[in-house]
Parts: sequence; C-alpha cells; structure tokens
Amino acid sequence: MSPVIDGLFSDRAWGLKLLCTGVLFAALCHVHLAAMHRVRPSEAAIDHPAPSHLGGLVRRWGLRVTAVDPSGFGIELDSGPVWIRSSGPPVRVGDVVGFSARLEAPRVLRADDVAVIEGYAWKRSLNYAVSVAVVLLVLWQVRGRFRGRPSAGLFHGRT
Amino acid sequence: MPDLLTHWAAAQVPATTLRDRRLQALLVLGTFLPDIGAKGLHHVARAPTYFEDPTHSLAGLLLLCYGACLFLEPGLRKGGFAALYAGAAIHLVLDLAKDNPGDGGMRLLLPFSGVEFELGLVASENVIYLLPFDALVLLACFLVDRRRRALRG
Repeated sequence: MSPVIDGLFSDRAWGLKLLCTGVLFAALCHVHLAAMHRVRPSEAAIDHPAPSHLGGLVRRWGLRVTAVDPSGFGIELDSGPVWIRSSGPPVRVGDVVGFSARLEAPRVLRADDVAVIEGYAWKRSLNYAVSVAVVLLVLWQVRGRFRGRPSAGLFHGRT
Repeated sequence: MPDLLTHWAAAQVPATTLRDRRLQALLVLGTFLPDIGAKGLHHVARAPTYFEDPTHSLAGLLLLCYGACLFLEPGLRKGGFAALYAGAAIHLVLDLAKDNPGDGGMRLLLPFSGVEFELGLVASENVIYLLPFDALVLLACFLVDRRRRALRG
C-alpha cells in the first residue's frame, strides 16, 4: 500500500488530520452556502427582492396551506405570508404541501411543481421516532464489538 | 427522506456477507452517517439548511467517513473507512429513489457541480409504508448470519 495511504490511516499527526478533515468539511459547507445564496432567494429576498432575485428558485417542504383561491394558495413562512400561483394539483386550506416555485414579485411565487403530502404529520413523526429508535438499537447491538477499542484508536501510540 | 429502518435493511443485506462483525457494524453505521450529519447540523448546530447538502455528497461523505474512521483502532481504520463509505453510498442510492419537490435532489458532486440527482420513484414520506418489509429483510439477514456462524462453529 502507498505510504501516503498508510500515513492517512496511521496515528501520526492524528489530531491534525482530524482538524483538517473538519476544516475541509466546514469549507465545503460554506462554499456551497455562498453558491446557493447567489442563485436562490433567501427569505429576506422573497420579501424585498432585488431584480437579480426575480425568477430565482424557492423550494419548501411540509408547509400548511392557509388560504386558497382559483389563482393558487397561501402559505406562511418565518418571514410572513407568501402567495403561490399554481395551476394544480388542487389544494385545500389545512393541506400540507411541498413545492418548487419561482419568485415572481415580492411575496408572490409561481409554482413549477406542487405536491400535496397526505398524512404528513404522522408519517414524519413516525419516521423520526423509528429512526431514533433504530440508531439506539443498533448502537446497543454493536456495543460489544467495539468496547474499549475507539479509545485504543484515539490514544494508541501516544504518551 | 427514508427512515433509518429502511436504510438499515438496505445496508444489512451486503453487511451480512462480511465475515468481520466489526466491519458489518461499521457498514450499517455508515449508512446512518448522512442523516446523522444532516439532522445534527440542522437540529443541534442550527446550521443553515444548505449545510445539509454536503452530508449527502460524495466528497462530503468522504470527509465524514474519514473523520469517523480516525476514532477506530489503527489496524481497523482502512477497512473501517471502506465499510463506512460503502454504507454511506448505499444511503445515497436509496435516497436517489425519492421524489421531493420541496427539497430537490441530492447534489452528489459538490463542490465541483451543483447538479441535483433524483429519480423520483417514490414520494418521500411514503417510504414509511416499507417498515414491515424492512423488518422482514432484517429478520432474514439475522437468521442467515446466525446460521452461517453456527455452521462455522
């Protein structure tokens, strides 16, 4: 095996390697965030859009419909109410929706795609409950296979 | 987002073929890593929503799996990294199937490309209907694993 690969997985400069990994991941997150802010309107921009924000893509999931009329439906974002112009599917007040839409004017979006999510509350709650239970169950199940070993990896070869 | 029981069932099938039980466990834990990273950033660190995207990208998971494998004993790190990354890749394959217009697809190629990938085969929240099937798959895997170990003595 290459000495570089061997070095990556050795104890040498263990802390520095972990730090570099964290810094690289943080950099990846920040580079992506900056790129997304250039192309996607933020909630503040939905309220007061600059000309460059118009036509920008807005996506949201799991929002309750607060009003409907033939032109579309209303939802509530953290920054206030927003109107979605949509030609379908039909939605009712109280429905939970996800959508992909373009910013047309302050607080007005035009939907590209709308999904009505049936049973969102119980499905999402069950999803989270099952997922947390699964992580705990698996950690409990595999605890014997690693007992003491993570610390051996942490401190091995260091004084 | 499929629940983690579905992800566990998908990862347990290839994990059952591994002889080393530690690598089996790491492959399964690797399949949880993208969602643990994403939900940890969102709910615990209160990070911006867009920080979740790198946790479901090939490069982001390379870093997360490498960071995680450093906590293993040195002799297990290379194999552990491979198992974690394989598990994470299985997670991405499963997530590819979803249809979620409010979230969009996964940006697998960050930071080189922001192109989104999504097959749109199943409504995101409806994956919950797979729970009984997941339980059967896991039961079958455990029975096969137990029988194989019994035969091996």
